[in-house]
Formats: sequence, C-alpha cells, structure tokens
Amino acid sequence: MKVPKGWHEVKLYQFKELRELKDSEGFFNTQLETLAILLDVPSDELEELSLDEIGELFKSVKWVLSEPKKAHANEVIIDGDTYILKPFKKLTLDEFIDLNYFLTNDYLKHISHIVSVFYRRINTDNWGNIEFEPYVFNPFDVFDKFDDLNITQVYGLIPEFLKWRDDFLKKYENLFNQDDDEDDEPLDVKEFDSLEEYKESLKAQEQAKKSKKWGWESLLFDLCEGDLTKIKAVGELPLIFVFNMLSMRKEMGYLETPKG
Amino acid sequence: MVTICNKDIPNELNELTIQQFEDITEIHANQKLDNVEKHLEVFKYMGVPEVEDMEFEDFKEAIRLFNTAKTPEGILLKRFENDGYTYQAYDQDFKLTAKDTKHIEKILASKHKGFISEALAVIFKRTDLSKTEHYTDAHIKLKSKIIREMPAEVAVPYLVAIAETINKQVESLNESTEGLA
Repeated sequence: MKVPKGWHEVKLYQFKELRELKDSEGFFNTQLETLAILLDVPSDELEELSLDEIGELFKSVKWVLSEPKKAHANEVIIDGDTYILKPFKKLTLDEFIDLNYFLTNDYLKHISHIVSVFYRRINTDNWGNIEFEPYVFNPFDVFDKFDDLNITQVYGLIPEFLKWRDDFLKKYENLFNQDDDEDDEPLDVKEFDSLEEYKESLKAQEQAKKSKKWGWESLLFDLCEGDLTKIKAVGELPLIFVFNMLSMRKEMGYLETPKG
Repeated sequence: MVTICNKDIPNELNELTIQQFEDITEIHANQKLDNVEKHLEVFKYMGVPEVEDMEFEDFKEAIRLFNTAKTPEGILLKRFENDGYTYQAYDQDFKLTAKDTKHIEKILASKHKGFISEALAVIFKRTDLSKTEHYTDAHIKLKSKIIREMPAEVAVPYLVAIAETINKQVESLNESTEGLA
C-alpha cells in the first residue's frame, strides 16, 4: 500500500470520492473510507488491520483534513497530449453556460467536467496564432479522461474562475434581474391600492420567475432572434463579445427579455 | 426487583432482558416526551399503568425506587451457548477489530429499534462459522434475536467498551491534528 504524502499525490477521482463521503456513517467509518480512497484499496483490505494501525495510518494522512493548495497548472499532459488552460476571457458563450451549470450544481462532484472545459488541446495556425480545440464535445463524455490529474494541478482554478465570473457579471449587471430575492417573496394584497395593481404585480413576479428559470435559454433565443437553427453559431461566439452586444441592445432598447 | 403499585417489576440489569433494556432506552430517547411522560411510559411498559393515578409524590418515589438499580460490574461476557452452538466475543483480552468497529458504528449511527442487540451480535461470533458468515445481515439478525433474550447486564459493559474504543480513536486523531489549518 502506497501512502500519499500530501494533496499533490491525490488524483481528481480520489478527491471527488473523498468529498462524497458522508459523516453520518460515523467517525471510524469515515476514517476507514478516507484511507481506502487515499490508498486506493478496497476498505475490506483495511478491515484486517488493528484499530491502532488504522489510527497510525490516518495520522500519516491527516493533511487530508485541510483544503488542497489553491493553485493550478497552465498546462497538463494526458496520455501524451498537452492540454492548455484556456484563458477565461477567451471563453465562448456555450462554455460559460456549461461552467455555470457545473458550478451551481455541486461543483466538487463536477470538478472533472469543469476541468474538461478549461483544459484543451491546441493548434497553431499558419500565422503562429494559437487555436483551442473547439468545444464540440460534451463534458459528460470526456470528464473521466481528466480524473487522473492531481488535484493540486487544478484546484485553484475554481476560486480563480469564480472571482473572475463575479467581476464579469458585475460589469454586466444591468443585463440581469436586480430583484432576485423579491421574486420569491409572496405579495400581500393589502399593500396595493387596487386589485388591478396587485394582479399586475403578480403577473410581473410570475414573469420574473420564468425568466430566472429560463435565463440562458431566453438569452440564446433573443440572440438568435427566434431562429433556433442559429443557436449553435451563437453559442460558439466569444462570451465577452456576446455580452457587449447585449449591453448595446439593452441600451438601445432592443432587448425585450430581462436576463438572470 | 422493586414493588410498585403492589406489583414486582424488574429493575436490576440482571433482571431485565436486553429486549426490555432496548425498549426502555427507546422510550427515554423519544424527544417528543417530557421527563414525566417518559417515566409514565416506562411504567406502562413494565406492566404498571396504575402509576398514572398516583399522587405526584408517590409517583416520584416510584421513579426513585425504579432507579435504584445497581451499576453492573463491567465484566465482559466471553462466550455463551445457545442451541448447541458457541458464540464467542473474545479469547484472551477483549479488543474490537476494525471490521467489528465499522459494523457497530453503522448500527449505532442508525439508532433503529434493537440496535444494542445488533451491536452485540457483531461482537459475539459463532465459533463454527467463517469470517464472511459472521457479518451477513441474516446472521446478524438471527444472533440479535437470541441476544435479546439475554440479561441486560451482558450489554452494558460492552456498550461502555465500544464507546471507550471509539472515543480513544477520536481523541488520538484530535491530538495529532491540533493546530491543523
């Protein structure tokens, strides 16, 4: 059994398994399962050890109770292929939408999916410009290829991207619904002067809820002006370009659907 | 044995069965009941529902009497016989194995009815069976059914030993991780 010395020896798939462990099974079971994951052996194998041996082994991996270092590599090698980190500002709309999905739906479980969007193979064109592998794959089909990377090669990517995303969305906040929290609050009829006014507000609230639910779909629908055959092409556009265009349309009063 | 409302009811751990001990434990763990209700339920369970009509001072005295049970000596029963089979917990010194601890912790965490006898069923192993057979669900259920009929004084020292083992494991880790970010 090879005992890892730190997070730098832990693979992505192991990290995901560790994060999926439930404390509800008890202290010792969590300890045993943690060791089984880190040592890459079935937990049955460890059950043959004495409690003292288990305790000693766990002490040697106590670093697992802290967070991995928030760093990331700019390139990684998988099966002899080099994958380069795509700069955030070069993301396309499709990539951004998928990243948002993974980040808001248990991002630790989807960490390999996230990594598959960021790290891409590259080509250099005749003029020496770098071209990133197109986003024609589904992260659900390729994520396991990234499972053998070490967690410290990619872990820092998430907080860095979250910060970038926050700053980015702040820049374009006028495109998004401002009163997200208010959408969820039930309206009190007593606060309105007339029943018509109450009904109007109720309708507006329902509309806002729908916009929130269908945020990205309605954005794509707006951008392709209702022509669904253009959605693929719109998704491939650079994110920053799309948001600049949306801002322009909003300022000019052409944008009908509030985003968010 | 104590006499309450002219009835003799068992209260010592060598008089109660593990089944009764489990049922009483379950009543006391019921968070929907306050303390008085818990004692009322225990007396009803022990066959003296008349306590409900008692004066409050007499009721308090009945509780005091019931709780005069002696603490068991802490002797860990090594083995017992049932239906021609031997069930053994340990040979020289009692020590929980990693496998036992894993199973017991899961049972204790679930806190389902009968968890005490099930935990003991993990510890006591039929000497004629293999390692794999000891831990099958059906076999654990069968053993716990047998164990439930045994006196509660068998269970308590084991519960203490289990708690001590797990606590030792926690403390040992806490010491080694002090100051860890």
